[in-house]
Amino acid sequence: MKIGTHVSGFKREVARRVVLEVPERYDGYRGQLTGKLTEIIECQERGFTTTARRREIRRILEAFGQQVSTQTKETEEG
Amino acid sequence: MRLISAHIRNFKLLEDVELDFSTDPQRPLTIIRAENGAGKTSLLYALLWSFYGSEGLPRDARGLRLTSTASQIDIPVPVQVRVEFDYFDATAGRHTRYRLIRSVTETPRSDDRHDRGAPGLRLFRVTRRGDEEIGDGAQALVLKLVPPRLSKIFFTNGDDVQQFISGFASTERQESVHEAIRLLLGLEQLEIARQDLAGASRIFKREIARAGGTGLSKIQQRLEKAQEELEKLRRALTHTTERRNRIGEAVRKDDRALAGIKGVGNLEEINARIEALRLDIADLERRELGVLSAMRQVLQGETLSWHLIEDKLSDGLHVLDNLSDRNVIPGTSIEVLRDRLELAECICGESLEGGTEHHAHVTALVAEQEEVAPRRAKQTETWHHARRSHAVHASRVQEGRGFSELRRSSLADYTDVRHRLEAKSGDLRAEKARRGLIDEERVRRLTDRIGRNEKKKRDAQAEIGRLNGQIQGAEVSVSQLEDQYGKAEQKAKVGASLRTKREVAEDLMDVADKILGILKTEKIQVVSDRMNDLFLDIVGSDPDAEVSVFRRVFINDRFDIVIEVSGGRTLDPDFELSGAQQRALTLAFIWALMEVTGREAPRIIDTPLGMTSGGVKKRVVEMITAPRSKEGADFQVVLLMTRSEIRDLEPLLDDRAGVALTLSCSKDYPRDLVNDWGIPRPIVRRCECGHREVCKICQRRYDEQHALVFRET
Repeated sequence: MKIGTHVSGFKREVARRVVLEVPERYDGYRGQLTGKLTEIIECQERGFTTTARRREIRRILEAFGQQVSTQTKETEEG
Repeated sequence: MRLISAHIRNFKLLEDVELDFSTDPQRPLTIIRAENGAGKTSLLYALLWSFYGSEGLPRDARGLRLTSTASQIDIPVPVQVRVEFDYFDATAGRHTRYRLIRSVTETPRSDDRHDRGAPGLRLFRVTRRGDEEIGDGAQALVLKLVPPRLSKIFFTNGDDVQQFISGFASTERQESVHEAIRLLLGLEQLEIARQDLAGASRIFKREIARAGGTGLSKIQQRLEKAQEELEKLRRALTHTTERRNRIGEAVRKDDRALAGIKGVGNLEEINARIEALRLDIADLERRELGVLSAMRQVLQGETLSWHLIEDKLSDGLHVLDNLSDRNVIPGTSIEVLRDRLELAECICGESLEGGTEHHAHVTALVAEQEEVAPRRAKQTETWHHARRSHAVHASRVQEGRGFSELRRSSLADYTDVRHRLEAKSGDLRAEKARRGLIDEERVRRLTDRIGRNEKKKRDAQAEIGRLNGQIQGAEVSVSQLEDQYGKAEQKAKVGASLRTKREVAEDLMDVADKILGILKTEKIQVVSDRMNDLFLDIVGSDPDAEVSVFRRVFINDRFDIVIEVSGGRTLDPDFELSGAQQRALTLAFIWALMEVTGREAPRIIDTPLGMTSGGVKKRVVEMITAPRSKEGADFQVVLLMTRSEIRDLEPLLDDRAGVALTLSCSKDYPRDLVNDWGIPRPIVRRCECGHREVCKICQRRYDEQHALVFRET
């Protein structure tokens, strides 16, 4: 799990605790959440304008949401 | 980030200086010894410039020339700083080495002007296969690796360390403390991420609502409006709270100023003292005139003549006495001789008839007397005057009123009067200055402003209360609408994928919120506790001891550092801490924050130990140079120190320093440097001397005070 290059062990430890409170939709969802949060935070370091950053974040969430939806469905069915 | 080496060319007096930095985790300290004017600040600026360009320099220094003032006019000078550093990428779990080269050409012009060409920055990733240049985005990467807003922590000087906690250099009290906490804990990034996620979530909800039909859409619109209202209220609350705090701060400062004025004393009493002092001064000025007049009299009278030429005068008197003894003076009276000639009888009874021998003798005597009488008369007069004057002089000397005594006493009188005049004039100036402080207009202005600000503060407080009430109401509305929306969304026929996108965004918001919550409470508490331990250890204060001043230092919920002393009272870090304590507290805070956040960064401090001495000085260095703990992040400390700062710390530095070197400047010869380098311009040179050594380059005239060992080169 990673929360970005700017974040060292102390914040990883915090994130690890916090995601435990989020329902695990399928095995590995929580770990993916922290990875996505890292990606979202890293968008701030990519020189985007605010609008472009928000658009990029929406794109990340849409793709992630799609993937979670599929995996959740597979888990429920399986 | 850890510095590995730097090569500085033509930056100020650093004409060609190469430096290595310690990267040994067990000996994290690099000591760069340099006296005043030997390049410490230039080195700090060169490193700042290499990472951030001119923007990295202190605001006042940005327009100044980068090159030496000794550079020739109209000759272009290439300025270059090359830094090699290593960065630990926590995501990849590996160290990457970079080489950064910043350069510019500067042409000094007359009248202190200069032209500067386009600056260049090249960044290379140093690999086993060779250097890989990072083309576009080099500056962005540098700013990511070494964030400029953290430069105050990475690169600083003793004075800035001292002002770090205070509000003197900033618009907001403890601004640097707040910023360091926010940056090192990454609060700002998380808050922005949270806002971005909230925005995305709103968009997903709109999409769901559009897909779910009119009913859901209406609830969603109401929910969005309620959420916007809630956000607006929260922003207003933050704004009003900040405003109240700023007003409170202004009131506190004015109160302090007013208390200072009130402590000066009563205006009427000061006026009375000023009047009395003026009278005393006028009296003393009159006395001064009297003493000066007496001095003039002493200088103009016979007393001075007797003092200066007493021997000559005594000789003269002796000659006159001798003339008297021989009856030469006083001279025979001509009138008596003429009477006798008329009476034709001498005093002795002999006849003075004409034609007699005796008559002829007396007639000859008259003629002789007529010839010498004026001279004798003068001699007689001088003799009488000299005898009287000598008698007076003798009696004065006997009575202790001779010239020397008079001179001594009049000088003493004069000195005494002058001293008293100066003292009284000083008192008068001081009283006037105090009266200036007590300026009723100022008191009135301050009192009015305090009154106005206190009212504003009360109003702001009332507004905060009102906003809190409205926020509670808005939260209830939002919560109810969210419930409604949730139920309506369940019923609505919308795609699972669309719904999942919204849920995922909300899960992420929830994670970001909770991380923020923990960072702002638990982690700040850990930093606070660690800072407390370090600070109390440095200042040598035992909070349980009866005589201890400091009870604890802590970070409150506004991220202010609070200093608590006996009796639960708090101290103002601006006014009630010594310079050494301010430095110790800042360093304890930065070290605690870096330690807890595990930030791997160099800490470069120019002249870190000013105002510290004895145990505090030793403990400060002990703390800031301690090797990292087993689980702690690697770090570096680069201290730019003078010989005086190093003094008494040598054994500790022996243990902690992985690299020690010395910078010296040719301009210090011959006054301070012992040896002439034979370079006819001011330049800074580096030598290999550690903190216990000197060589031909760095040897200084007072080095014997520091017990340094001469190193042959």
